[in-house]
Amino acid sequence: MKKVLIVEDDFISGNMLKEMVESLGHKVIDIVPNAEKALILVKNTEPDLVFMDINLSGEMNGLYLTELLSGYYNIYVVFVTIHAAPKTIAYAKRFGSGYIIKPFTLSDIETTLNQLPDKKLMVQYEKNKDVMHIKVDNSILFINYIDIIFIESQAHYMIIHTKDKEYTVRNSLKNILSLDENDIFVQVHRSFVVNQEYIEELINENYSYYIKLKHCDVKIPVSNKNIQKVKNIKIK
Amino acid sequence: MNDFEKILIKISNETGISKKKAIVYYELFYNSYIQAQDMIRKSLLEEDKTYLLKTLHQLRGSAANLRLESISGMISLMEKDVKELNFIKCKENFDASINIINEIKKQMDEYKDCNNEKSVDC
Repeated sequence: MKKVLIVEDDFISGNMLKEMVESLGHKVIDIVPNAEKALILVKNTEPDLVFMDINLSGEMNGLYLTELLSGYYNIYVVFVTIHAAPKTIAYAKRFGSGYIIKPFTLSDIETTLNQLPDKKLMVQYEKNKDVMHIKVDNSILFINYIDIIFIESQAHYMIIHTKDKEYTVRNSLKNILSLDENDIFVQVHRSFVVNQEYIEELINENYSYYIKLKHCDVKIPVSNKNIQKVKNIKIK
Repeated sequence: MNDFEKILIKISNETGISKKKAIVYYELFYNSYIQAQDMIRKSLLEEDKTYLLKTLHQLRGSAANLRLESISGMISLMEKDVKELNFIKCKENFDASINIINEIKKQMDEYKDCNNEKSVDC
């Protein structure tokens, strides 16, 4: 029995798919309409397969969500689309997953589920809780969480600051925090997340709070609502 | 056998979903299509391309899965109209799609009446 997550914002298609998957003896964890909910469920339930609609509600579409998931999790993603556009096929090939076209049949779903290889055979993206996988252009960088000093958000992008280098990636702080299983990071401001290991000092200047970090000259602002949370951190 | 019944047999054969459950989906689709009507008409007047493409794409996905080929074909034309910024043509196609979906609803109600009452005329 496979564990399946359906990411689909069309209620009817999502529920039809759920019925078909369940009739084949598999478990549907849930149907979620957007990327944000999908990320949380993938993290908490680790499905074997995600059926992914491409046009989703919310800011992130199914293609981008798949890119993100492939960097972190050992799961298969099968696109559900109404037409097999060249871009979709290219994505499916690139991430080693397939696609089904609406209107899908029970036979399509059965074939997809039967072709799913044993998870043990997959070694491409072995999950490692100590390493952050970041997609930059056509490659995936592996950065140890302990090397990240802080992360800054700028619109749809994030700047990841390490001791040696800065990386600009398309992602959100919310997503990063949802993937931080070891609770290494703490959000101190709407636009800043810091690695607790690097906090050196909490400074009060003219009624505003800042954090001074080790190995870094930047002062990170702390918003009022996060001050207590920072004060509770045991600085090492 | 009316067209709706043929569609019902097709969806049941291809998906394994029972006719009874499929009817629930058809009713949901009909209601959501009719409910979306006001917003679609408003968006056509305001020439809101983004909203129209998003909504039409979603409706087309449902229609395709429900094997409502006449509706999904019509929505496909509407999407093309919107991409070409031909909102007048899109409105004409939308009106035509409403007529089609109302006819499907009529046939669905006939089918339900027949099957509920088990009339000999059916």
